[in-house]
Amino acid sequence: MRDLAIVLAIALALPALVLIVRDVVAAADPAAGRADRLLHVVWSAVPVVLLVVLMVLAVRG
Amino acid sequence: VTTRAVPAHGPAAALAVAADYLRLTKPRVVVLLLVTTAAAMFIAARGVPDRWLLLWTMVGGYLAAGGAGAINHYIDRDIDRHMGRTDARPLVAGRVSPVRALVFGIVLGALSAVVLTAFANALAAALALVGLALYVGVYTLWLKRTTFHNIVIGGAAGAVPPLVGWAAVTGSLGLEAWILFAIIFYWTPPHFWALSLVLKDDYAAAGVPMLPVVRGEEETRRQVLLWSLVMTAVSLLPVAAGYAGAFYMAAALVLGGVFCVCAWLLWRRRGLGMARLTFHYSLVYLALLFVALAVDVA
Repeated sequence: MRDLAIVLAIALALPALVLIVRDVVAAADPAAGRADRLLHVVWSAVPVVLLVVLMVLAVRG
Repeated sequence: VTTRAVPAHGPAAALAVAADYLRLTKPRVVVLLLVTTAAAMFIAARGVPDRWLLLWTMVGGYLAAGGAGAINHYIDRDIDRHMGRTDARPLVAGRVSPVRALVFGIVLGALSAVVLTAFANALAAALALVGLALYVGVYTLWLKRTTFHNIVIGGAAGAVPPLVGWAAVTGSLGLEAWILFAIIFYWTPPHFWALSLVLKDDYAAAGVPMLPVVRGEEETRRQVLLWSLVMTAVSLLPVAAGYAGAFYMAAALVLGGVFCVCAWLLWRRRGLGMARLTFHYSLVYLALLFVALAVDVA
């Protein structure tokens, strides 16, 4: 049961996450200032990092 | 702006005033948050938590979330008047003065800290105040009017209530609690973006950079689908972490599957009706998912 949940979670999240990251990178405004571009990167990274950390911790049990 | 006639004196007037102050606390939103708090308490206790602890944590949670809502009314009163959904709010209609709403919100927040510290513990109280600060400071004051990331990052505020419930029971926070936080954090974008599709013109008129305003409806529909998939994946983490079983996994797959189907149909351009349906289903989804987890674990 646990292994199935891990496989399903990765199979569902990974492709969607790749597309989300790609979309967010494409949405960056090249005309924005350095601070705004940095914030865009930070806000974009938060959900990705949180998900990766939680998945690793969950899999490690 | 709509107004309604209320008697100037007497019980009816008092009731009308009370109803307006109750509205400031956004009771419908807060009730859903309290469902997640209560479910977290059942999960943390591996059964029925102490009844008085449950009651006081609900009271403290309502005060914190309600206080955040009242302060949000105060801060957003300038843009609320431009949106059909919010132009009858007590501050916009002039039934409650802005200063009174602000003081009301601060008092509720302070009372939540007192109640939770006295009847739960300091960690639960601190977390409730962190949730209030995230909602007011990070979401309302900073991100809401500046970036389309507002809902993603601001969603952290709405994800705090299960942490409060967990902390109230255990006095600490572990992986299980953070997984509950994550379930709401990843649920928030598809939930709110579905609503923002319906309210796109309102947000545009108010100058709020919600995703449909900044990146268009088609991109928003696509993001709702992608985030629904991630949300469903995250909902499986309680099983992956080994603290939930087959019942919860089946519930998470069915509930998440329906959510993804709604998001898929929304993406296939089925009109605003599908956006409304997705939004309303998302509310049912979150409540049932937490109840299913509580039933499975407890």
